[in-house]
Amino acid sequence: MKSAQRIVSLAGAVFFGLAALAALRLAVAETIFRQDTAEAIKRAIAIVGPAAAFEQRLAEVDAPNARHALEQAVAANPRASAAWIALGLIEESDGEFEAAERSLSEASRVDRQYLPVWTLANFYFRRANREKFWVLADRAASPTYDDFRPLLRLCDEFEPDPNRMLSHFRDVRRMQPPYLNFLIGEGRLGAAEQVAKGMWNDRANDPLLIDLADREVRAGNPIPAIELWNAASGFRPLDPSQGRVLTNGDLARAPLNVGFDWRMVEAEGVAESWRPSELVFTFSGSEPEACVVLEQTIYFVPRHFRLRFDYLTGAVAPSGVRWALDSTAGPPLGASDRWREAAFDIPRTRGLAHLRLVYQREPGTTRTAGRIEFRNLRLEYTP
Amino acid sequence: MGEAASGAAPIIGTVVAKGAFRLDNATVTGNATLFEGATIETKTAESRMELSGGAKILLGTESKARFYGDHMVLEKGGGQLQKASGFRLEARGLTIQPETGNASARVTLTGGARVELAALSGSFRVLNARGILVANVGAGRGLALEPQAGDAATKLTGTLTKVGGHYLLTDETTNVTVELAGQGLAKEVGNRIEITGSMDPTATPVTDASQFIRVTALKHLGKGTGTGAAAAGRGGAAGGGGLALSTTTIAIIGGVAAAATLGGLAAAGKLPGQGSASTISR
Repeated sequence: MKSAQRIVSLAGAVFFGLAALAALRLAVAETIFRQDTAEAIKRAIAIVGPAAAFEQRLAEVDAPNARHALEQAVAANPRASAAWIALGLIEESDGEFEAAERSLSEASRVDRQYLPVWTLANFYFRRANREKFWVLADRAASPTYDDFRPLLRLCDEFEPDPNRMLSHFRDVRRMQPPYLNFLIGEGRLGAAEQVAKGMWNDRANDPLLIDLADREVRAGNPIPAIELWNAASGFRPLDPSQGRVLTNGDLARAPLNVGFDWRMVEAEGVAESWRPSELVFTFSGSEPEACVVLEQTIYFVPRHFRLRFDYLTGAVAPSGVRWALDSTAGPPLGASDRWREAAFDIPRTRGLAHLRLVYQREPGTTRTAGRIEFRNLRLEYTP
Repeated sequence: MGEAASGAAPIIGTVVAKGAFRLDNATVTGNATLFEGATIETKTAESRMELSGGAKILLGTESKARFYGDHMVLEKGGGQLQKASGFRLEARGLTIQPETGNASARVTLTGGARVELAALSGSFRVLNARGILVANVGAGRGLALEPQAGDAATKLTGTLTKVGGHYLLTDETTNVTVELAGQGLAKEVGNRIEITGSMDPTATPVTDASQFIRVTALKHLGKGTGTGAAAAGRGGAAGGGGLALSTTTIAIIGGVAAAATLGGLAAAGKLPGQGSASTISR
């Protein structure tokens, strides 16, 4: 019995001794490894044998021998996806495409996260292997990654047609918003319109659709702009053929400052504010001699229009405030301490134009000070 | 590296980083395919570009560059060219191109309009915005270059020689050989001189020279071939690295001021952000 105990004790001592020795060797190797030179890392590897982390670092600091180090790394730890990726990229660079495919595939097999899939997708893209690329692209479009533009760039290179491109993804609705953003960023409004049409039924997409409408307006494309605007803005739909061309004339909503809604233009020395149904402009006397303070882009059909509106001036009435269509201005608005209806006859025009509220210093006066308020703006046909 | 996928934008290589970087203003982690004209911007991790043509480029941290198949435009920070044969780097109006295969160099943009070049192996030529040679930088040498506003007068230092009736001077800082014309040159043959003058674009220099300079002022610095401050141009590793900044020779050629960087390639530490080891005074 005692001899058995002695054997167990001895075995335990040997085990702990070996474990302590292994721990010591590891500690020494770690210390040497931290010197972070190729020679030091090689010495560390010589002490503990091939270790994926050591071999991977060796590959980084000893580029000429990186491939061998990475082969050692994946042999030591076949689940080291970063090593598989680095090895695959080197093999690809060396023109060994089959080996590269194997390594990168292995990386994506042992690691289901984004990077291995993204890397393999890139590999298939570079190899012009469309079939495998699309499978990987769909996998790479995982919910864990939030900047899809690099992936979309690859997809777009392979398939510039928006509808066909989206058809490669299982979750089309998920891909639509980033793809629309991508196309807007590329300035490809026509393609963006195609994507946008599939997004109209989801109100969460409205800000994107309004952004696209705004860009269409700026690009001088009224028809798609109106279509998008009507789908997403929530305002009463514009219908130029019926004379409905003004947005938010009742000022029920704060101006969006985009698309076909009012833009409150910042001007030095002019305070602008919205409150339900009214817009208020206060001139301090230090504003520029001429400035635009409010603007709306309007799509005109070739008819005569008249802008009708109510306005009110404060105790101090500003002078030189008037409505204008682009650079053609109407007469200045006079003082009125009560709400008063007034009109501005729009010069006959067609297409996109800018209805503006402007200030122009009146000859013989100093720059103006005072407050003016507007409400109930209507744009009506005139005979 | 790869085939063009659809014939739209050519693929020029890959970019790999140990972390995140910006590719055409999009955030990418790890690696990506590089297209012609792509812009790479790094933050805390370096990026390594491997181009189809064979060039390898290391873009340092906090750096930005645009990449093409045969050249790159460094906009911020620094980078290192490896195996740069046939590849050129443009920065701040200067073009840096290898003269020999397998050449490698470190290029850093520092304050003002300065470009620091350290040739690690092989030799490099530096051209100004008009394509005029402004420096030859051999392996182990470092130069700080700064394009000058307006038509700065040429200022060169070296030993005057006479070959086949032509006066030649190889500038100690830039290692550029020019042909000289002007008063008082004959008696200075074999001596170390400093000249000021202007390039005559209508005159054709002899074969060994890259420019024809009309000398307006000449300063005798010493009899026979001198070394003097030229040692700075050899870099600290070769020159002892202990030269004071004031001894650095300033050359101005092709509208570009040039000074040898003290420490030259001894400054082989971290890529970008390394301290400037030279001064250019005007």
